Amino acid sequence: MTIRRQIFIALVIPFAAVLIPMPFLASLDWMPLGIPVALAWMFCCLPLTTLCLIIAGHHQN
Amino acid sequence: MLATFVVTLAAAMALALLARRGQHKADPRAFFAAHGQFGAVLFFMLSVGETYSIGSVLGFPGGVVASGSGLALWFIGYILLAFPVGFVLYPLLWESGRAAGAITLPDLFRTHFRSQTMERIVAGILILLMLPLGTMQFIGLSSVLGALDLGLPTPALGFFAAILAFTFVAVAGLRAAALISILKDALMLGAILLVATLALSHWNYHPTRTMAEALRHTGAPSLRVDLFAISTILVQSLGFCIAPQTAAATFSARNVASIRRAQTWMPLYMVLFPLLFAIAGYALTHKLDASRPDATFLAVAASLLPGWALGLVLGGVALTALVWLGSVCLSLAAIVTRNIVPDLKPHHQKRTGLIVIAVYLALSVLSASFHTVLIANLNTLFYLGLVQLVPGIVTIVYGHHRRIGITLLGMFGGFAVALALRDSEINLYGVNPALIGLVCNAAFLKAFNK
Repeated sequence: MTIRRQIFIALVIPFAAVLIPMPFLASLDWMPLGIPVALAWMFCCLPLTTLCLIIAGHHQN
Repeated sequence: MLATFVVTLAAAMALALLARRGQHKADPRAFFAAHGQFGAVLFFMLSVGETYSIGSVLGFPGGVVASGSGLALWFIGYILLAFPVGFVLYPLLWESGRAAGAITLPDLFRTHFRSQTMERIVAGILILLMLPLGTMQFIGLSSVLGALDLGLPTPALGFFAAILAFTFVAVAGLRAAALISILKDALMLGAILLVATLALSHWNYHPTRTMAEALRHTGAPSLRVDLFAISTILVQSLGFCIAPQTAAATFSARNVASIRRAQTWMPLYMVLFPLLFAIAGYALTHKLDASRPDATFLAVAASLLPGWALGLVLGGVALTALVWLGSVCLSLAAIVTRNIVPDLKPHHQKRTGLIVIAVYLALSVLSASFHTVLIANLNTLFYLGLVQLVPGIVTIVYGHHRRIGITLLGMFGGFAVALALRDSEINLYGVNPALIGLVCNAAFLKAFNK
């Protein structure tokens, strides 16, 4: 895997996952389990980010 | 409550004394940077100190109570995205640090730019920026000591907190901070789990309003709020990775593999943030009367826990502040003794470092006594200045050659732009002025890159 692809997986995907949906989700009134949906998505990005780093690190090795 | 609080601190002191064993007494590097011998586990514990710091444990629920879920988004966002930034940046920083023999960021600037002036300027900037950090921790410590009901006036509590902080730092340096981090995080994770579980189980007992009503009262979503969240995440995820105590932790790692292994799992370490949000939600929906928003976590804990358990929680929160203060103080002392007055003999470096730490703690206690701002706002001020160092650090780790004057102009210019925009009437539509300053800084360096 090239350095560019590693940086894409390790950096670009987590940043995109967190930042791009944010304005749209923040405008919704939906609150699953009492948590604003934008915040709920943010919590889902925690394991997603670790997964991206595992993949990037694995290919680095 | 007091007994369990004291036992917690005594256990931490015992760990600090344990850390002294095997240290090379005359080597200041051992005090400030643990000989660069930290494997993945100790590096992980030292680095995740920020995850459950006073800023997170007290500032996050307090910020949600004061400002709503908008604050929660950028607060979690920047800490989370700092981990992938660190995954890419820290190995480069570590290699640059190893090549330069660096244990502080100014060391790197001196070696790359071959300039002591550059070193001292960067050191001065970092020292100034670290003042709000100490203030934040003492605001939190004062809340903790106030909750113990010792019957002492606030200035006395602050003084006592400073003595405690100094004692911890003086005993065994960075290795102690890493070991005590383990105890601190075990207590904090347990405290957050316990308080949140009780809050959730008591949720239906006499709520005064729903979560939706409570969050509507704290502020509606808007483009301004979204732009502030996104721009703040961008700025602070970068700044988080170059904070002086983070750089010191990076230079202390044994190798690049340790760093990458630790960074990979750090996002999962944030798994208790939903519970911190639940604690804030409980306070909002049950109209708990905290003396100020930053005391929300402690107010919820006091309303739900028996005295002895509250003592453990207070001990954990106190340790959170003390460990974080320890890391910051050690970074500060290292910067002063290595970069401001580098000609000291090795056996004078540690003594001078301790004097610097004592002065810093005194200033932090004083400024905490006069504070009227949220912990989260002090955090933002710190990053506003710190992030202007990012272009310079990128220059170093990628081995680019730039003129010293251009780099400094970019740095100060970026900071001036950010500060002027922050204090002006210009409508930025919510964009964090630090980001605008950073873009100006980077553009300036790019334009004059010969």
